[in-house]
Amino acid sequence: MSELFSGIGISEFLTADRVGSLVWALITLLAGILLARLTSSAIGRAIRKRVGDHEALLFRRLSFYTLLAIVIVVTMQQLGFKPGVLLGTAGILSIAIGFASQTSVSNLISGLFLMTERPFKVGDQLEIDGRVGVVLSIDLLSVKLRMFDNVMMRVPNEHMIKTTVLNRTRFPIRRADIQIGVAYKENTVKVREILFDVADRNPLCLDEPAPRFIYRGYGNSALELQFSVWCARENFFEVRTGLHEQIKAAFDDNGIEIPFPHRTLYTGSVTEPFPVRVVEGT
Amino acid sequence: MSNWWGRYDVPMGHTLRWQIGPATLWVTRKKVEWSIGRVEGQDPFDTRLAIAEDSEVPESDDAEVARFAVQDASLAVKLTPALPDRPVIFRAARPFFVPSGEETTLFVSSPLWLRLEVGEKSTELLDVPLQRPSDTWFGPDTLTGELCYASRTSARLHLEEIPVRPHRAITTVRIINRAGSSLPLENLKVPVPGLELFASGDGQLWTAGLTLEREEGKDQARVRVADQPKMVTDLTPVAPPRTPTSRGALIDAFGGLLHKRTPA
Repeated sequence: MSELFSGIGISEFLTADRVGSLVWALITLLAGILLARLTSSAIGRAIRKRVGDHEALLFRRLSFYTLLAIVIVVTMQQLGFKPGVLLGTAGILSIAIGFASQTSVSNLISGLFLMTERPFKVGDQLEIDGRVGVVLSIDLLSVKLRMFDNVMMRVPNEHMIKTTVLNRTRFPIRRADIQIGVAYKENTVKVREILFDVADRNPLCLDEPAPRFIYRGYGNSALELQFSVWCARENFFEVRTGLHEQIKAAFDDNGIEIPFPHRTLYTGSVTEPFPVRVVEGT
Repeated sequence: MSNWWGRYDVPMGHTLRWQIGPATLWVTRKKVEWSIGRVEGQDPFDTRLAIAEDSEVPESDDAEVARFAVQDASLAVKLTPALPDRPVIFRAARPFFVPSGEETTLFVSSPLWLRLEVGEKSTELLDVPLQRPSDTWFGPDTLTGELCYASRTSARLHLEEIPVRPHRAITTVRIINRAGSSLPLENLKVPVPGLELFASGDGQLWTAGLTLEREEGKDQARVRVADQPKMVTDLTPVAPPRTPTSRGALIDAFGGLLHKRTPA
């Protein structure tokens, strides 16, 4: 038990000098990690107001990993390793590790692409595979999102590169499309006037770009219309929900019918009339 | 028209009510508490004015009521009018052009905000629009531009055409076109957050005068803000600008020229 390799005893290996180097290396490593963490946090905080959350996070990570690399090299030097040999070993090691962990390396490279391409930033609202969440962090291996039901979703960076991602908050204004059906008997000119009046009375609906009234077709039970209104991105949900309520109320006030699906029953080739029973006193 | 702004004392347990055009405001002083209620109203042409009337707490389904806890025993409440926190866009009722080498002066009426402060330390409790204007977008396309407020009234060539209303402030905008082509004014952005607010002797609110100059070969406007509007003489300052304007700055102010830059 007291022997290490090829007969070297542990007592011979652990001379006073070596123990001293080991202790110093350990202290350097721990102090270095602490210093790297504190420095990178301070850098992140210092530039956050000037450059935004996303860039601050990026700078914080980059400064932390750079400082960590320096700390590791210094620690290894204290242990007696030569940097040249160390780098050579690191090259061989990285190939071995790369083969062994292709997924992680793929995520890592995808993460670097995401950080430089910047299709979204921290705080943006994304839709990925039909699920919507707000970006919490963009890390080296994954993107973390907070879903609206307060569940965290971790998406590997490789998936973020491959799949279609909708950024709902990239541009300052958004369009809310309201799908409406009105009965065939209704006067669509009047319907159009009512809809524009509803948008006009809602201060969160933008005057410019102006709302649009679009015929979508003749449906089974209704004239299918679309009313598209622009609003500031932060007001999107309020405008969309509010407009549905306000349009329903305005249609009720003006006697405009929103029809439900109609079905005509056919009893076969002999089209006998359906029996009708008149009940008095009800 | 009397001044609705200024400093008032609300006796303990009492409610004072203001009617400023369509907006109703009431302030109740209670022990260690201020209670503030308001209703925006619908009619933008409402010119009613009631100032610090002793009243019961109005009952309204549309009221927004907020309570504020304070330790200060002061009964003082201070109302100040303020200009909007974003530029206001005025649309021309009909196509309007300023030919090359010409200039014109327009009169526009901007919506006002209300600032409410209480106590000896002037603690701000409210900074809200008297009547919330509609949002609008001012830019060449939906990707680039600025979120602004839309004015429901058009710019006028004659001051007499501007209705006198306690919840609006008038701005004189001098437009000079030194470029070689006609300047279409289908909509005009007035950077009101950078303007100081004044009151004339008859209680009408005015902003500092504004000059927008289109220089040769440019589509933007060079902004110059006058110390006071030149139309009126007996003015007293009421509120400083919300944001300082750098004098001589170039801004996008002419909507007609912006849309020319819209990509096909």
